[in-house]
Parts: sequence; C-alpha cells; structure tokens
Amino acid sequence: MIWTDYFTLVGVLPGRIVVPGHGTLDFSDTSLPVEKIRTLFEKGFPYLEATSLGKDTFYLVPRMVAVRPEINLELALPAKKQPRKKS
Amino acid sequence: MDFADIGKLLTDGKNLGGLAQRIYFGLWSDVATWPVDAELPLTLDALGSSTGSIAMKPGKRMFELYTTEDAAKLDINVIGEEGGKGYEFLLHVFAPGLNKKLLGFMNATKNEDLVLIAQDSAGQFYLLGCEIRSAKFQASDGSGTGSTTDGRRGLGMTFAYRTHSLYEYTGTIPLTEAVPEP
Repeated sequence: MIWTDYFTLVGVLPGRIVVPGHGTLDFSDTSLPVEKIRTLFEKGFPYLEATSLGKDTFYLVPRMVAVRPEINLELALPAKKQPRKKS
Repeated sequence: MDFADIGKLLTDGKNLGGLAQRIYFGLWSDVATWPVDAELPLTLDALGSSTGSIAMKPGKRMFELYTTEDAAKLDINVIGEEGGKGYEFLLHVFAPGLNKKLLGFMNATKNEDLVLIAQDSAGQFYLLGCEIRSAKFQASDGSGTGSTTDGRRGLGMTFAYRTHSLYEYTGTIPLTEAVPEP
C-alpha cells in the first residue's frame, strides 16, 4: 500500500513542500512512508486529507464515538485474541 | 502575560551560527493567507511563535534561492522611538556568479513587494512579510565581478522587513503550485 491510498494532497499540485522538522518532502513521490504522512496529517499539515480508506484504517473508532458517544469503546473494538493455553 | 524563568536554552549544547544555503522567496501579492499572531499569548513561548502557514493563491508558489555558505545572515535590529519600538529584519544573501537568471532576479525584485523565508543553522525558520507589510529589496552589498582573481563574482543582496514582533515561523513552505480548493 502507498500513502496516497490513505491520504490525498489538497490545495497544491503534487510536488515539494518544506516541512519544518522533516526537511523538503516531495509529495509526488508515492514511496514516502505512510507513517510519516500520517504524523503530518495528525499534526495539522494543511495540505492533507484522509481518504475513505485512510479514515477507515486509522480513524474509524474515534469517528464512531464522535458521532455516537453512547457507543461503548470496548465493545466497538475487535476483541483481542487470547493466547491458546498449552495442554 | 505570565513571565517565566529563562535558563540556558540550548538543545544538547547546539548553537551553530549562520543561515542555511537556501532562502525562499515569493511575491507578497501571491500569498493568499498568512500566519497569525498567537491568541492569548499567556506564555513567553506562545509570544515567540506565529500560528499557521502561508498559503499561496492558485497557480502561485514559493521559490528557492541558493546562497553561498557563510555569506548569508539575518540581522534583527530594534527600530522606533520610545513608546513605538519595533523590529527590522535584514536578510543578507550572496548568490554566486552573474548568471542572467540572477541578474533577472535582481531586476525583478528591486522595486517589488516580497515575502522571504530564511532558515538558520539550528533549523528555525523566519518569515519576512505579513498580511500588512512586505519585505523589500534594500541594498546590494558586494555585487559585481570582484577586483582580484581570488575574489568572487556574484550578487550580494539585502532585504528588509519591519514588524512589531519577532516570531519563529513554524509553518510550511509550498514549492509546488497552489490549486483551487474543490
């Protein structure tokens, strides 16, 4: 998966943007790490939006809670698998 | 405003002087939105940093200008009379060579309203220009062919910007064209 599956550039053409703390990033490069792009997005980077896949992958639960605060977060999250006990 | 104690604020003792070897420039009239002063600056930290990024108008962007190592600097001077103090940034750069593109840059900027951004050796950025005031080409220092063979050719340029406050610029610098928002 590439970062453009999860996030999309808005307001500028794909190209170079100087980002304090990260240097000059070339957003026409689809090999930029997804986690780096996600970090920028979460810090309020002005030219990124999450795609539907990005919202579903990274922000689904918070969005559900925001819309329906009555949701019990523990029930909404998938149950953790319990390690099998050795017999 | 809450004052606070100020100690030796160096990260791991780092405090190299000078500017990075590139500055960023654009036309003041091409900027669509500007960073804003911090709201309710209750701390010294908040009072030393602007909030937000510059954004360019559709079809416009910022550009890079190379400058020779150790030939660029940013001076911060206090200006104004008592009760009206402010600051003046003076950004000095030296672009080597007398390439026609450089000559054209000087021709194009000498009477123009500009926005400039410089980065120091610690990685901090400084924005010259705001919503109400631009940076201006002020002087040429050391421009020309040089007089000896151990001199150098090039353009030395000084840009000035006057402001009420000193801020670190923490926003982004778009080197790619802005497009209209959908």
